[in-house]
Amino acid sequence: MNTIARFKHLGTETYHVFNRNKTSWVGLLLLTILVLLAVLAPVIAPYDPVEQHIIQRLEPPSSQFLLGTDYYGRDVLSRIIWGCRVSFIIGSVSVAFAMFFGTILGSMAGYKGGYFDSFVMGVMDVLMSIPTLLMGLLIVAILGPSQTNLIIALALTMVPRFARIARAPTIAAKNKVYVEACQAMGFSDIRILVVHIFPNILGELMVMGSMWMATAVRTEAALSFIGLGVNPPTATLGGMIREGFKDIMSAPWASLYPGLVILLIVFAANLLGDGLRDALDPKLRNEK
Amino acid sequence: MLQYIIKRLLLAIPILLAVVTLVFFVVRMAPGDPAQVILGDSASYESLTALRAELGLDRPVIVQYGEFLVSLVQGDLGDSIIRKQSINSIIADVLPYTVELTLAGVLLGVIIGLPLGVFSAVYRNSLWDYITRIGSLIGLSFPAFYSGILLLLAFSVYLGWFPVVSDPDMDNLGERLYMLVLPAMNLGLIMMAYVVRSARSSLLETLGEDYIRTAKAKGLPGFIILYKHGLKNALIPVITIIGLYIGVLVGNSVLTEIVFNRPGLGKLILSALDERDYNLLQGLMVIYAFLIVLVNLVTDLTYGMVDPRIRKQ
Repeated sequence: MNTIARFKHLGTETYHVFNRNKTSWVGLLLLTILVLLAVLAPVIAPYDPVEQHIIQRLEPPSSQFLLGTDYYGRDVLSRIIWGCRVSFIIGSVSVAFAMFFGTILGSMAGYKGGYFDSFVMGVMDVLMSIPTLLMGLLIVAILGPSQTNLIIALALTMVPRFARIARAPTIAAKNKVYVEACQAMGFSDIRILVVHIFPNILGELMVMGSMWMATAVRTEAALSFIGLGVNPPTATLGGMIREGFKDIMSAPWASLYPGLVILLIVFAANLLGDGLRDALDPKLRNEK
Repeated sequence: MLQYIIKRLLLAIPILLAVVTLVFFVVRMAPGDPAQVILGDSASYESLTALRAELGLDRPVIVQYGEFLVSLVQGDLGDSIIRKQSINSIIADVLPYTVELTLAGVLLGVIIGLPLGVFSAVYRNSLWDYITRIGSLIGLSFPAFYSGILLLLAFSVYLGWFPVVSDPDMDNLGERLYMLVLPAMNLGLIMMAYVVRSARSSLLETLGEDYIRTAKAKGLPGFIILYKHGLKNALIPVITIIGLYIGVLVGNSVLTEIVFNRPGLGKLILSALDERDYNLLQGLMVIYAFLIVLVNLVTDLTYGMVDPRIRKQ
C-alpha cells in the first residue's frame, strides 16, 4: 500500500470508528457548532465585543441584548462568541504544538533508546510533576499574560503526555519484522517513523488530543479567571466570569452564561475523546 | 518491601531536584528587580545597590542557586522580601487549611464515587449506567471555579445554609467543619467523577477475566464473585487515580480557595503574584512539588503493598 492509500484507509477507518460509538458523534456535532460559532464570530456576533453601551449597564437579557449586558454595558452574547474564539485558538494551537513536539520526542526516544531515551523521558517526568494550572500560573506570571505565553505554558505541560503515548507503541513496533525489513532495505529512520509507525498511534493521538484540548480550554479559562489570561478588554470566557463575579447578585447572566459555554466546550471535547477511545479500544470493539 | 520503599525514595530525589531547579531559574527570569519592587520607582541608585547586597541579589546566580539548595536541604525556604517574614512560617500558617480541604475532597469523592462506579459496572449499559457515565463526564468537565460559584449561589446566597466567605477559626472544630462543607463538596464532586470512571472501567476489565468466569462456572453466588474476586482486584487501579489526578486536585483546590475566599496555599499564590513576591512564589511552588512527589510516592507504595507483583518488578 502506498502512503496516500494508507492515509485514505485511515480516513475510512476513522469513519467506522465514529459510527461504532454514537456518543462521539454527539461530541463532534456539539464541538463543530461551537467551532463554527467561534470562526464566524465577526459575522454572527450582534455587537462589537468591546463596544460599551454605558447607559445600558448590567441590563438583563432582552430582545435587544439576548444574554444581557455586563458592567461596562457590553453585549454578553457577543463577548461569549468572541471569547469562544480565544478559547479555541489557545486550546487547539497549544494541543497542536504539544502533539507535534511530544510525538516527535516520544517516538524518537522510543526508536533510538539508550541514553537519549532516558534523558528525554527524564525531562518529561519533571515537566509532568508540575500541575498544569501551576505551570501556567508560573509561566504567565513570569513572562506576562498574552495569548502566545498562554499557548507556550499549556503546550509545555502537555508535551510529556504526548511523548509518553508516542513512545510505547514505537518501542513495540521497532522490533516488528516489517520495521526490520524497512531497515534492511535502507529506509531512513524518519520514513520508517512517519510511514510505518505513525499510523499505528494516530488513533490514540486523536483521543488524547481531544481530551487535552478539553483540559487546555479549562485551564485557559481558569487562568483568565485568576487574572492571568489574555489582557482585557479582549473577551475571554474565564475573564468574563472574573469581571461578572463582582455583580453576580444583581446580574448573574454576566458570569453564568460564559461559564456554561466553557462547560459545553470542555464537555463536547471530552465526549468526543471518550467515544473515540471506546471505539478504538480493541477489547470493547466487538461488543454490543 | 523495604528494598522497594528505598528504591522509590531514591527515584523521587532526582525529580524533586530537577523541579526545584526549574522553579528557581524560571522565577529568576521574571522581569523587574525585586529591590526596585520593594523601594519603588523613586529609589536612589545607592539605596538600590545596598538593598540588593542585603538580599544577596548582587552575587552570581549560580551562587544564589547553591545557597538556595543548601538552605532547602535544611528545610529553610528563605524569607519573603515583601512581608519580611520567613516563608516557612507563612506557609505553615495556611497549610492546614489546604490539607484539610484536599483530604475532605478526596474522601468525599471516594465515598460517593466508588459505589456509583461499581453499580455502573455491574449494571452495564443500563439506563443507570448511562446516566452515571454522562454525569461523571459532565463532572470532570466542570471548571472548579464555575462549580464553586454555582454551589455558592445555591447554598449560600439562595438557601443561606452556609457563609459566603469560609474563613474559619481553626480552634473551633464545629465552625471548622461547617465552613469546610461547601468547598469540600466542590472538590469532592469533581474528584467523584474521576473515581466513578476509573472504578467502573477497572471493575469491567476485572469482570472480564478468566478467573471470574471460573468462579461463575463453579456456581459461586453473584455477590461473592463481585466482592471477593472482582472488587478486590479492581480496587488497585482506583488507588492510583489519586496519584494520577493529584495535579488536577491541586489546581482545583487553588481555584476553590479563591472562589470561597478561604485561606490556603492557593490564596497565598494569588497574593504572592499580586505583591510580586517572587521568593514566596518560589517557596510555594517548591512546597507544591514536594506535596505532589510525596503523594505519588505514597500511592506507589500503597500500590506495592496491595499488589505483590509490583514489588517484584
